Amino acid sequence: MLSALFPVPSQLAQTDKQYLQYTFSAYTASAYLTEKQRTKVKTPNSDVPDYTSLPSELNDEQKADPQKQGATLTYGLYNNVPAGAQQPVSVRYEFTKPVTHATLLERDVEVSHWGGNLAAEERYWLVNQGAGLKNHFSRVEWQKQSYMNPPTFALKGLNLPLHPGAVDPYFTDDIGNVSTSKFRPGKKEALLELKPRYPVFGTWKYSFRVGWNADLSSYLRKLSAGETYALKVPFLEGPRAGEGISYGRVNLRVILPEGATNVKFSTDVPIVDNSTSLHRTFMDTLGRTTLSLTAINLVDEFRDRDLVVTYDYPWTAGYRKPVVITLGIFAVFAAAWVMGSIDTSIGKNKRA
Amino acid sequence: MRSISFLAGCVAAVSSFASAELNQSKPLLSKQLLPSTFSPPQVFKNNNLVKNINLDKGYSRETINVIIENIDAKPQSEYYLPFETSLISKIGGLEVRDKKAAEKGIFKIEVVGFDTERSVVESSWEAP
Repeated sequence: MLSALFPVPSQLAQTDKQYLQYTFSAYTASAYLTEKQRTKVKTPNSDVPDYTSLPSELNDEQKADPQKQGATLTYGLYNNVPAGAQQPVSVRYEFTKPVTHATLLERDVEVSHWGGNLAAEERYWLVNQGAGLKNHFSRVEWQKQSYMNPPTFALKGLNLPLHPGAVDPYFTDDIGNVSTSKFRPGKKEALLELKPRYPVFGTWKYSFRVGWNADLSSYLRKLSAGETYALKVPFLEGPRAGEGISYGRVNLRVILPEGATNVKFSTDVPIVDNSTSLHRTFMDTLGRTTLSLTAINLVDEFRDRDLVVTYDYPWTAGYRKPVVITLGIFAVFAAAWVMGSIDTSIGKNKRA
Repeated sequence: MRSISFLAGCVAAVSSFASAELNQSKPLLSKQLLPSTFSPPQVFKNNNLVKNINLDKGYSRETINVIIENIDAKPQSEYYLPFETSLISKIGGLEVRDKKAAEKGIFKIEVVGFDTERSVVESSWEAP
């Protein structure tokens, strides 16, 4: 459930603890009669200052409702709840971590057969859905506490675990290159550590782009039948964080080489829209075949899901561009020769 | 024992229902919904239901473990899961799988990409 947690209070001082409130139904919404049911709520820690208490008459065991055990609240047991019954309850709990939400993620994966390269670029529009700052941001306070590294509701950094073999990463935003990033290539994964230009407090936004290259051979396979290729890339390669990240909308583009036809894909990420179009860029003759996929409301648990794209790419299509460019240059030479041989001198040639 | 414990199925072919194009410049941020007059047939009974709500992350994650029983005479293939209309646009990934064959389901996903035990439910109706 995305965008369903609300900070209460909604404004905090810079070093305060953040509390979130979540409202749900103690009776699970069901289209059928439910004989026995319980609802268990697990909070990140046992600091739960407020929660709705229901009268114990509703409870089948006539006990206080809910039962609190450490970081778990249990509503129930309820007997014979009719279909469609609702019992709204709220819980307010400590969550001094950023509530990171990407309103939009644009992800491009570009395949180059000639270069043997898979280029990925991701553009994020992030917002912290946590509590806003009550007063002005104090740089002194921030710097003072940064050495102690206490929990904070500001987004300080993002870790992007990339596949091993990722090279040439970049991290830029609207201003330009952001130098506060580290890249640690490794055998198991290549970790890209990003730090935004400023700590992103609640209701603040930050948008940036990251990109990297990878060797195509670990993603692309030529099928034995004909000239068909199969590309397997992760659908989402976003940041990994303990507090999780949610995505409002993800636009994924897989840019295949020019002349690729018969594009098919399969993924188990729920997709709302897909289309195949042409992406035209420099020195293109036809435009590159592009598969666009759109998914809404994803969370970072979909990171491991793969996208498999198969397409036909005849070898002649790979030579189209050099042949066209060669012919173009010859055409220029030929035109220059033809124009150079035109006699443009004034006056008639004197013939003897 | 006639109790069928499949945590499965429940598909209400929704996207094909409302295929009318919406003329709006802002991209759609919610999925298609069933008409509000729709009411699922009362063919099931939930024997035992435990809902776990995990608030460890910046979004809430709800897991419903339910044993359902078919109280109809005929075999059923659709189980409906209702959501409030205001909530349905906030639902992230929804997945249903058979708990007794969870490994099988996950295994299948890796190989084929799809499997029959799992399906995305996009059903919604107003609570009476």
